[in-house]
Amino acid sequence: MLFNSFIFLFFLALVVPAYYLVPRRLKNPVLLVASYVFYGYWDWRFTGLLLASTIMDFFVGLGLSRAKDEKKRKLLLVLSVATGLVVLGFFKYFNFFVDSFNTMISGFGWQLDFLHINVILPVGISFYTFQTMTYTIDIYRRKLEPTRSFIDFALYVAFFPQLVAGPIERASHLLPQMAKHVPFSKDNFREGIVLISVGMFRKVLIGDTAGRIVDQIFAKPHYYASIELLMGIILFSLQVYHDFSGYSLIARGTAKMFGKDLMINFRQPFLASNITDVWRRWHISLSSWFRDYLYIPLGGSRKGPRRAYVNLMVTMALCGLWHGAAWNFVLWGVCHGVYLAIHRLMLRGKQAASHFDFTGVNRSFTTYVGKVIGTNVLFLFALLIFRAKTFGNLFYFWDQFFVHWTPSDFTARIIAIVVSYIAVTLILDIIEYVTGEQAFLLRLSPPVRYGIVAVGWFFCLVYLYQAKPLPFVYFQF
Amino acid sequence: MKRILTFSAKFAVAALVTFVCFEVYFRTTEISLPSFVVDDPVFGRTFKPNARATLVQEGFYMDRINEYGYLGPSYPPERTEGTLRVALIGDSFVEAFQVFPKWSLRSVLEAELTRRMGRPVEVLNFGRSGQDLRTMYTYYKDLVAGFQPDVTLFVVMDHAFVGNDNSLGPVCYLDEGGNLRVSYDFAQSEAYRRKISLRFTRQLGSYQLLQSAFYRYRQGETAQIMLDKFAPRTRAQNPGAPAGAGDSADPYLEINKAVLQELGRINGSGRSRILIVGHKEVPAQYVPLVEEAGLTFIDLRPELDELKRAGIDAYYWPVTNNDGHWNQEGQRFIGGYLAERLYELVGSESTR
Repeated sequence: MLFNSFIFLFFLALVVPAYYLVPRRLKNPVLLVASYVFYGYWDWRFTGLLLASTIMDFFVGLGLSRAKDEKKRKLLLVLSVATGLVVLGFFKYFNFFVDSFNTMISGFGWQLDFLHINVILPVGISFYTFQTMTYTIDIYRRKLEPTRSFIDFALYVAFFPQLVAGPIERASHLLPQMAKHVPFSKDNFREGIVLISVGMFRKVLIGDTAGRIVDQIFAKPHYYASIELLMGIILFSLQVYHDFSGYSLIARGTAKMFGKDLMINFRQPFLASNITDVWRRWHISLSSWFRDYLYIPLGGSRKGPRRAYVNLMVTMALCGLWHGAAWNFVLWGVCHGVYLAIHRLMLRGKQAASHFDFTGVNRSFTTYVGKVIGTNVLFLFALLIFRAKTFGNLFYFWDQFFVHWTPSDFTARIIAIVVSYIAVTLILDIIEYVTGEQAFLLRLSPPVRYGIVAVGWFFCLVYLYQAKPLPFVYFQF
Repeated sequence: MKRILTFSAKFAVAALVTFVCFEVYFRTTEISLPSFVVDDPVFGRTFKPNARATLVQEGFYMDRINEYGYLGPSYPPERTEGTLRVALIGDSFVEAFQVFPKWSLRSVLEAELTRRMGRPVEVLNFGRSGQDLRTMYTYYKDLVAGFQPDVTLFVVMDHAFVGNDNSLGPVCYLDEGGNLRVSYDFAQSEAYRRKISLRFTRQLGSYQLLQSAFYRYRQGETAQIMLDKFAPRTRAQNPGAPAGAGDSADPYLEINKAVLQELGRINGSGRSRILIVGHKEVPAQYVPLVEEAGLTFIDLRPELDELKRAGIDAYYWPVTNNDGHWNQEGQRFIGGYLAERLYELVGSESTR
């Protein structure tokens, strides 16, 4: 079920009252059933996979807490993590590795095409696999006590607002909330509505509208002039940002209606003045997952500078692979690994700026803006690798940007379109930054807020009605 | 009471300001521009001169309507000596709101004919979506003929014969003596007056969004949009009157015949060489009628089938993963093919 669909709005209008009307002991079962309906609406067959993954990690969690022997504990952890990765690997990466292997051995005149199988990627598998892994790993690390309630755990895994595209919640944050029931609160409801409204605006009227142009340009890049291709990649960056941050906002807003708090997944990443800071602000639940469950266990920066760079590259390459089973995603990850490594070298042990600091004697606003632009250019350069899909397309874009710049009949209009999209992004992000909250509309007086929200919803619904909704970009991951 | 009034006033002001902000956003990002279509008391639905247009549907289109209200470069009604002028008339396939103008049939045909002829060629695009053969004829008579084309191509498919252009515009009919007549009574109709009185709404970018939504509503898609998988299955839409040789169910056969004969007379008078270009399913009974009227029929179907066998589907759009209008490859192929046929048929005879 897509958030940006009428059917989801009807679904939500049924589930929210049902949740608050049933007796306390039935609240979580109701939410669990709703979550499975939400997931099964896409393809009911994969609810079995979700359930199996839940059952296994629930019992591994219990086993880990009971086992005294370290060897047995380790074995249980390996069982849980390996099973999760094998399932993920089969559905997401099997064909990728087979095809890559085939390409390699075809040089020797061999072919293993029969190994290629048609598998459908279950939506959200990368998200919920990572989420369940945090549960067993944290219990193994003795940072978390396992839950004794299967329903609570199953709801933690399948909680529909964040099931298919995150935020990838840590068990330590979300699981305790599942055991606690917050009575209906107008404040929560109001905040939920505002978050969903802003999220819908970002997703439907910015992300989707930009995405429709992007899809056209990337489907047939050879029919577009250089500046049109440039518009394609800039709009893609805005599409991904608004699509995903919009999704995260709708997820947060929906969860808030049930009295649950989900983590913030994006904090104005395009205002960051260095690439390290971008990664602290972009898809925070994933980047922090890789930091805590891969980079630090690999040794982080504790084992000397050389090892730190290797760890960084490995982490980012795997982060790329997480996004999709294709070499362009790996290359995108490696590219960010190189950026981060270079930035680390430049910092020489100092901390990267983690806030939009442009005050002080040596830090003029102009310098800050220059750094922001530079950071975004690097980000776009890598993003092209991410989006181009084939290396042929990628080289074509580079050729059009750096070698054969071709003029367009619509240069002024293209620039105006791109500037408008950037302007609306900046306005939203600056308001978010200045007010310090994503539900910034709550600061306005009720009539003003309702006026804005009503018109915003009107246009979102009209747009949804007249154009087929685009699925969320991150669903494919 | 005072509280309610204050609340309502603040709400209204906030809503209005937000509406204006959205309007600015839709226009500057070109998500939805003010309408580039106007209602004319003679032509019916036509294009607004100099209006900007951007459409992202199965393809991506961006351009500006020219100062004379048709598509492509602004060629004035007065001709330049030594120039071959070709007019294209057709429906949304000719309109080509799916590709950037430089990849359209019009551009390809112009470039290719200029190269072959070795002298300037101007191709004027009078495509309008939804046109049938009768409205193509009235458009030719009322507007296109004024641009004095040497050659006029009527690009038609099944809809042009058996379908009906439902927009408010001139209507062809046969008088008691069986003569072809055109009625412009639509300009006196209540529906037309209402449209004209509401024309200011077309100046709003947001109007286009509402218009598209209304179009889907009229198509009966509400249940599908709202209920998705729970929507009741509907019968396939009636594709129009059935076609077939001598089929008495074709309500437009006689009038189409009269239109073809009238076009044949224009062709014979030397005012403009008229060619009928068919693609998709042109009803079989019309091909001999075209030839009887003394018009040349160019059939694109075998060529497009051949192209498909060669691995290029002129109708396929990768983004929607569906067949639709001609894509860039289709436009290029058809432009090249028509240039070749026109060169054979017209050669250098049409210079004025």
